[in-house]
Amino acid sequence: MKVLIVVVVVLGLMGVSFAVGLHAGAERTALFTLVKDLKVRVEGLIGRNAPVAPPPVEHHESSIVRLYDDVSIAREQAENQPPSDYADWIGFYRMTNRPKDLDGLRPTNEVLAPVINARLQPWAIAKMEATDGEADDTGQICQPTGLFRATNVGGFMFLPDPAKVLLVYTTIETAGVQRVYMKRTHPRNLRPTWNGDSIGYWEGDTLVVDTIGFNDKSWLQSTMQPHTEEARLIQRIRRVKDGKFLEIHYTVEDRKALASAYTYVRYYKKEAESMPEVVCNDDLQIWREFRNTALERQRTSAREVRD
Amino acid sequence: MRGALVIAIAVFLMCVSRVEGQSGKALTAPDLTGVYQVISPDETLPGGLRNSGAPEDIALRPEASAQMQGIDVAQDPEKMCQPLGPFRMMARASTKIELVSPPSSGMIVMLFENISHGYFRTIFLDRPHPEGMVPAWHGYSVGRWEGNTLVIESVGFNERTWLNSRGAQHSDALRLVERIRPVLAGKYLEYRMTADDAKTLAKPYTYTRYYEKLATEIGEDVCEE
Repeated sequence: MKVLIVVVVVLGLMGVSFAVGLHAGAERTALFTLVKDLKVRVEGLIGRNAPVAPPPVEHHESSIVRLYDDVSIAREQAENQPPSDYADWIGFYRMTNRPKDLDGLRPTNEVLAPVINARLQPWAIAKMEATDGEADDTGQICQPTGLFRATNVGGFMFLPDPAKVLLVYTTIETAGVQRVYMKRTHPRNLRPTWNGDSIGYWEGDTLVVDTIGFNDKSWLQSTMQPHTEEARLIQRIRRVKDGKFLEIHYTVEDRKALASAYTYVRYYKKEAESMPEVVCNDDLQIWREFRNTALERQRTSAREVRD
Repeated sequence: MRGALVIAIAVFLMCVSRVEGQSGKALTAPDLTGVYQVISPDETLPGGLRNSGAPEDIALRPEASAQMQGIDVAQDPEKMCQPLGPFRMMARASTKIELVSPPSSGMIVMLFENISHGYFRTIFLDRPHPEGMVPAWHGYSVGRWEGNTLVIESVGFNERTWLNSRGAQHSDALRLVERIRPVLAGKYLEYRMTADDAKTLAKPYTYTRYYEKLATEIGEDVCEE
């Protein structure tokens, strides 16, 4: 009997709090919050899964890119000045995602594949699923892989220069060099390239980089999500933790391949003043065997389809 | 009168020394930053300046020459998208480089348009070669200014690169000295490369290249099948 009374009281309180919550709008009562929290915990305990849905689009001011024209770039040159500590930005930075190395910093969307997959348009999903992850991956044979993949692995040498900023990526043969031009617009009639065309400007202590003009040979990730020549990469770069880290907030857009933009934040720890030598093609034997195996698999697959 | 004369001479000498100091400073560290491309072997610049020598002209020691005969030129790093090393890369036709020297960095960075063969090099201006160098494709480079000439000394090479397309090998004793200075009002760089390797070269070898300063940006030249 006592148990029944307790259950009735709890249910009554839940009903009241729910009603109050509905009517109070954003100003939910503490009781409502408590009950809601209990409900979530109970659902977690009984293993009830939340409905599958694409991850929400993170709205960030970086999605609004200030595009220069020839007039405004001249007008804004006086304001477009680097921060006073700019010379100290130079150095080799390595991406880190281990909590103990991050000094409390938190990367976002650490596993990118599902984030991208949830936004891929149908043709892009079909292309991804039809792709041979080894034979079609130029990175496996030390050829260029483009900028998108370089942003999620390894590191770079940051070279600040008054007229341009250079990011020399660790695996230079595959990721190349990103040259960010600070005093011009994107050229008209860009010829698509692996790393596109980057321009930048300062928003206070943040370097904003806008890159377009990519070719469509590269993949968004090593998990082979395709993009088109409409792809656009926006990087917001700033120093954090007294200059020990560079924080880069990435936004990737591609209206022909993605239903919506996706974002991710990565942290790069300053390790040295210069970059160590990493030559992808160091071991030709491994490179050849890998390539030959992948190509043989591709040929076998083609024969099976043909026969 | 004598005192006035002494003062006048002193003031004159101070002015002269000041001018020398200013011009000396200007000559000490010219701004070499920019994009450059090696000129054609057929081109002669004003004053009769032209490219001379080539990695293929090196004189090898007998044992190194014998070793070269056994090398399969089909395995040339140039055909394998591998780095060529500074000695070959800087002599190569149409090589395009970018020199960058961030403010207060104490270094000059040399980047190549062809990232597969050229890679990139860091030249430290404020230190000697490090202790305990691990042999590397591009060695370790330090530089200093001699007047308006940047002198780069590089050591610590691994034995993966070739000295030329004929398959000439070098040892870990390879030492490169590069002398770079602006000529013709800064429109060109005069580049002299000297290679010395007591284990493989019969004598040090020097070639000269002239690099034209370009008004264009450096592009993307990648190794693709």
